[in-house]
Amino acid sequence: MSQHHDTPTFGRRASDRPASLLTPDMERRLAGLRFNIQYSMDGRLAGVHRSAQPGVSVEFADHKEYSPGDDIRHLDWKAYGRFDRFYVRQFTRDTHANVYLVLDSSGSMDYTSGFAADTKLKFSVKLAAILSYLFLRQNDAVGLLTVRGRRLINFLPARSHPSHLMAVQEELARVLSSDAREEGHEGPTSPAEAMEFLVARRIIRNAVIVLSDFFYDSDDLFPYLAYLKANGNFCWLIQVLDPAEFDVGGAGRARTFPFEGTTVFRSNETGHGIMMDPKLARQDYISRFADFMKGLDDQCAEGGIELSRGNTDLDPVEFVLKYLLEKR
Amino acid sequence: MTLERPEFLLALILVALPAATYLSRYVRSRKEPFPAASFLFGRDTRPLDRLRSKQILVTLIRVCLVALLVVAFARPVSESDSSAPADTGPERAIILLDVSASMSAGKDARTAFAAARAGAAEYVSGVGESALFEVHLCPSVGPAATQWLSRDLALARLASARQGWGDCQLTRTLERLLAAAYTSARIVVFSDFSGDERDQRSLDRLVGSGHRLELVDVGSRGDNLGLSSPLVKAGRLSVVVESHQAGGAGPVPLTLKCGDLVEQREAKLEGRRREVVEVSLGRDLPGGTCSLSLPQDAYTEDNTVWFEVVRSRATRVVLVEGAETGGAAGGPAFFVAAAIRAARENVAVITLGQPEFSFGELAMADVLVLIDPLPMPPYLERGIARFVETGGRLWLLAGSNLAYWKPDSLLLPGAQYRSCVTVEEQPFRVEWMDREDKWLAGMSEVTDAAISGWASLRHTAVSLPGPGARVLARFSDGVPAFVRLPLEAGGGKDVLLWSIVPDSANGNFAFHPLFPIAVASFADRFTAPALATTLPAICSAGRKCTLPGEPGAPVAFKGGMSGKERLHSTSAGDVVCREPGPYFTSSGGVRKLVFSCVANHRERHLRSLDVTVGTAVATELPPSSAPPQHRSHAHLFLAGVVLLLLFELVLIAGRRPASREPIR
Repeated sequence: MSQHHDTPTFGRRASDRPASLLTPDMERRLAGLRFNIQYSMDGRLAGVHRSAQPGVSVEFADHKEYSPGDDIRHLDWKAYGRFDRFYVRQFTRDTHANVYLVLDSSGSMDYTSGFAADTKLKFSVKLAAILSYLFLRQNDAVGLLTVRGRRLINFLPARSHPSHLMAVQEELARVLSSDAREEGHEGPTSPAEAMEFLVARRIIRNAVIVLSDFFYDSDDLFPYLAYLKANGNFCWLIQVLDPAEFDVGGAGRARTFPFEGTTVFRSNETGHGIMMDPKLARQDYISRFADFMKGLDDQCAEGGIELSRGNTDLDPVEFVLKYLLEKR
Repeated sequence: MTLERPEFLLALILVALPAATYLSRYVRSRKEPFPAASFLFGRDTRPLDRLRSKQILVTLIRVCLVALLVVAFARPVSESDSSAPADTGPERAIILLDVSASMSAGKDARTAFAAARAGAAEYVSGVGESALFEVHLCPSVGPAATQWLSRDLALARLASARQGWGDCQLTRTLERLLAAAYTSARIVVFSDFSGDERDQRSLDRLVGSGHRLELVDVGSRGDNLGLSSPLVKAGRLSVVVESHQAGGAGPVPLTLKCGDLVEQREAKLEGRRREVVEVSLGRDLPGGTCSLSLPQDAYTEDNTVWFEVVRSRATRVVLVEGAETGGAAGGPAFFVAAAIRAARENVAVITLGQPEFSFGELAMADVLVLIDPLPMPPYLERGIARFVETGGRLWLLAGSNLAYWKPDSLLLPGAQYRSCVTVEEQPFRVEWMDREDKWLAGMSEVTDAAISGWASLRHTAVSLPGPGARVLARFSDGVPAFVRLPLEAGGGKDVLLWSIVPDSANGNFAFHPLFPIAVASFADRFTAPALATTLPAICSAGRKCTLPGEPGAPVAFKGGMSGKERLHSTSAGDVVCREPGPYFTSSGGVRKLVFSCVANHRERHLRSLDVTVGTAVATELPPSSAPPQHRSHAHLFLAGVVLLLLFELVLIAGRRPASREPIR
């Protein structure tokens, strides 16, 4: 992570940006941040990430015996003096990354309990906007896939031009707007179509970031992630949860399932309901939810996939900062 | 289909209960969209709509269940078609004759029971010869047997009916008859309808529900009074008079019978339900079995109490008002109480601090000794005056406190007091004594010289208005020492007044040998007649009663109100009486009262009500002679209830258990 002294402005003027996604204050706090993916990226443009290919840089990487075709400007004459053989100096190459953001906009994401002002979807959108801003600012290309139910409802190809930020934010704002949502219940969520789409594009050494609550069958996700991971892609799952669903950071899970009195709980996706006394069911619910999260953790650890988890009452900027601090 | 008890349909409001329960749950439950709801479902997740439809089904079942239950309790019956061919069977009537204790009201042979029996006989005689009857007595002895009798047999059955002593519980009996196969027959009730209000309301309901029911009122109304707990004292008598009317009664004529002695007295109840009435007898009662009686009323069984009066040296109670422990050698009460105890056997002397005695203690006492009393509140003065008027003896020892008494005091009205004090060198001596007076009979042998040595240092001169006071002794300064104050011209109600308070500082008065002799003379006079009342054991009619004494061989008793009832006790001493009255044992021609049988408490407190449903006695049965045949369908409704209950159980049992089960 390195500090930039100037804060570049991307895209249109600030007044032209969709409201509430990226505020000037957020931009101020994100100034100077660099999201450096620890994986070798396979980009064609210069960037901040380590490249899988050697290139021209100030940072020495290795020596290589000269072979015809090599740039003689990189001959190491000192080595020739010592070993009487020609060696070529190789340097690391910094490249850009193609980052694909997969956003779950299903019904289960459209929920807030009151502990947080934002729904899970809004929190995810804000997070996607921040990440887009960070990546585009460092010349990375950002693409956006929006999932609803079992369908991939929109795909924004990865672009690295600064003006692409506006397109990403407009798409995110459209996801948030109620016009984009369909009436009724779309049924259980599955990201399989979006993941298939990514796999079909044969992306290699890129980044895939999935923002979701992952309330669906893991078989619809992890096989694709395993394939992507095998192709050198950086995979990062961000699980967004409301504190009422599970209080990730709270001591004693005080905010988890805080309901009282006879309540009809209705699934946002399937519409199935159940009437119960929440006090009686709370322990059982927490236990089952903790099992679910542990299963997710285990699968990620097994596949070498990054997993972050956050409640919607967090500041999205803080969430990103925290992640970057952990990875420094 | 009609209902025998349509008023039970009011209970249909209960159907709102399950519906309200469902609605309250439905309203109270919040709707919460919850993405993680899948973690709440069990394995077989069921949509809420299915659950809700099930809830509605269960609620409907419960509503139907309650409705069916209510209708079943309302006794649905179907009446046969009126166009059906008439029943060619004989006419039938059920005669219900009240023989409870209240039916014994009345004079001589014309009791309510006699009137009822005559009315029933007249009714039966007025119906055609082919008619069949059932005669039921209420209360009945043993289980009621269903037996249709011809007219002659029914008349014979009525003639053999006797007055009973229990409680009829008319409504219950009628409902039992109506619930049986008797709905087709006419039921005629002869009673005084003296049940309580609840009974009355039930009767109104039965009459209003269209049964073929006739009520014939043969009762007579009046004040109902009862007697209990008689107590005979010297020259007076107390008895508890209880009024069964809400407001009590006014003057109560009491008749006392003791052997040949028959006396009429009048006691006042003064608006109370229960009061202890004190009656002055003016003479001692002869020994033997005595009875106190009230005039006849609706409940005669408690109009008379029996008790045994025995002459004996029974313990008498003297109440000495004043502390015994006054001063170093004891106070005046000590000397008086000690002298009385030494003078008489069987005398219980109770000393009390001033003025601690209650009216209860006063009623128990024969003599009240007041030693230099402080002024008393008017109610206490009235109580003491009443005590004296009813034969109690008052002995007043006047001291310096009497100077504070007001002249209008009830105890000695108009009296004036003057304290006289002297020195030890010249004490006041008893100068004169009327030793011929019967009140000082113990002094007859004492010489004048011995009397003159009896002295005091202070006393109180009491000036009494009007004649009548008789001085029994006088001091050297002319002040009377002992005065007898007759309260009535005829004598017999005297108050004894001493002008001396015998304390240890008053010369040799309390220590002189004549002091105990004088006290003994007066005590003899006050406690002489030794009469006692022996109350027999009280047994409730119809209940087992254990008589006092050691168990032994069975004992034969004879008595009751008729005097002819015979009973035997068991070897354990238990006896069950049915007819109220005194019961005696007879040994060697000597009768001894052993126990009294009284009607049970409930019966004695029944209220006599004004019955308005009485009708004239029917002379013949209605010509249709085809009473409607009722067929009860309550069992069908009850079966429906059971089926619905089973259905609901099946529905409920089909649910999944534990906390993962969706709660309804």
